[in-house]
Amino acid sequence: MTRKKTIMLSVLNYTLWSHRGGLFFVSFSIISFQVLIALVWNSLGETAAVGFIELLPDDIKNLMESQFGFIPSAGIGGWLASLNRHPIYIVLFSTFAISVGVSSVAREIETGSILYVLSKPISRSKFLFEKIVAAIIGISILNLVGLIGLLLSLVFFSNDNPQYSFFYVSLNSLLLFCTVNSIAVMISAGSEDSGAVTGKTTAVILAMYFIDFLSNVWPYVSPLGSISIFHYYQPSKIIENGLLPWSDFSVLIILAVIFYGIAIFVFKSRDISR
Amino acid sequence: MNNLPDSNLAIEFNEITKRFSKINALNELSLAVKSGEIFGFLGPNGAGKTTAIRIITGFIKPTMGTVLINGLDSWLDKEYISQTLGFVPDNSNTFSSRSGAQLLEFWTGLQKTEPFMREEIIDRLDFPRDALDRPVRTYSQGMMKKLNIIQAFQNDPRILVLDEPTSSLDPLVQKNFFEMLMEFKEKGATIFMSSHALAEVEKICDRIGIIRKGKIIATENMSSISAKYERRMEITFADDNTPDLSSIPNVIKVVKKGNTLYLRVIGPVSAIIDRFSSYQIQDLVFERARLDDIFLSYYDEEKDNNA
Repeated sequence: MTRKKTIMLSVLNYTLWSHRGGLFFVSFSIISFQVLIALVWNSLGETAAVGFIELLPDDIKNLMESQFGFIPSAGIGGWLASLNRHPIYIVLFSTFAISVGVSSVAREIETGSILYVLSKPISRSKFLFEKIVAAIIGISILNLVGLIGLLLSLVFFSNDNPQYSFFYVSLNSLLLFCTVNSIAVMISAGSEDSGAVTGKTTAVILAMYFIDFLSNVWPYVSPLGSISIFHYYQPSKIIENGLLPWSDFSVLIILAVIFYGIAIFVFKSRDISR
Repeated sequence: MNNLPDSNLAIEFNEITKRFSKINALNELSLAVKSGEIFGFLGPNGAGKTTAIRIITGFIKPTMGTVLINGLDSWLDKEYISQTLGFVPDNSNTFSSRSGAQLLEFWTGLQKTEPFMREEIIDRLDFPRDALDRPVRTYSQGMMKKLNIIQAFQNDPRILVLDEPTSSLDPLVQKNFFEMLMEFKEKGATIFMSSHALAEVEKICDRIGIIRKGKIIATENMSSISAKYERRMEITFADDNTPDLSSIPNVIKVVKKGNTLYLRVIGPVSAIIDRFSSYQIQDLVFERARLDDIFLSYYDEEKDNNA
């Protein structure tokens, strides 16, 4: 009898395949969110939309500026790109990044499936490295979907030309959510309880989000802003300047590399006793 | 089979201590398993069996001491050792939405050798072939255990480490499984197994080790076990005329009930047979030393010592 061969021969393929449902759901949600926002903009018209925002109380305008970084002059493209900082967008991406991070180690131990995988000739560092690469690919796919959604919205709802800065925003988003994933992987690497890892990672990300939020609206807290990873995610600035924010990118890359590195070190030296 | 460096000892525990926080799961445990033997690792729940097995398979790093597998360190050389090692974990839970066939392919991809024994093992374990295309989360515990065994045996490993391999298997499949183990042994494989199925362990193991509170309290050779442990003998005579056997050194205890003598003996029995051979015997029952009795005797001794 001939053996049926499948393509799932590596941890990377296996991990991506495991998260295909989440990838599809989050992709669909991102596209829907962008279309919804574009439709709102389109139904109001640019002048009315900007006028509407101008009518809002100062505190709400400050909040929108600090969190969404809305720049009226950037038109629908700027509106859509800057909405990458909208809580819904952040929740969607973070959910995926945290979920993939949690399942990298803690859920594998919890379900016992790691015993089968690591009893084969594969090193722990290679196993976790492939999990990390799969997460980065997944987050890249979501960002690509976000970018395509943005470009499609531009095509269908306005005459604005796409700018390079949209790609930079997408790249900034990729780095931010890879850093979110790296925090989840780092916590997951030393744990065997996926619920606890989800809770701890969510708490860290939420704390950082609120530190960033408060530092934007409350001058007393502003010096603390730089300890939050969200401080290095500024779509509105990218849209405004049209430049690649090297320093923000560098900080996020360094943090992600450090957290992933710690995760690999912890996972390599820990016991799997459950 | 791939070739690992040759050694007479396949598995060596050298004064292994494993501490989890303040609990000593293993306490200076030393043990050696020869190449090509089937070694039964026995002990009650919580004695340290799974910890010892996880150290062999490189999942747990010993706090002190080393475990050598064919001369290689189980923690440092885990990747190399795994090339010829098959592992059946006690934990058979998986909630995967993948089919059994997909999981087997995935594990084969990691093993990097052809699973040329897969079809044969599927048949011998009576694994329903149509179930291979079903998601494993729909499997019963028994089916999951069979899949677990298939993944460990399909690449014809040289060392098999089995943690409760027969739990959840029906008696017929258990029988086939133990036959399979004997065949692997004949091919030169070393088998290290923990099991609560003492009757089967007794039949197939060359040696056993009994662990308690993280320490080996006994290692026994199954072929010489009868010389060391108490056995029961029951002799029914044709009439009330029975010999006096209590003076024979190997007889520990004699109880007479009617025409029947109930004896507890240890070691050679030729002197006993000589003594009653001139009497008319109606029936004779002589049991082998039973592993469960041996197992329990160690625990009773421990209890007595602790009392």
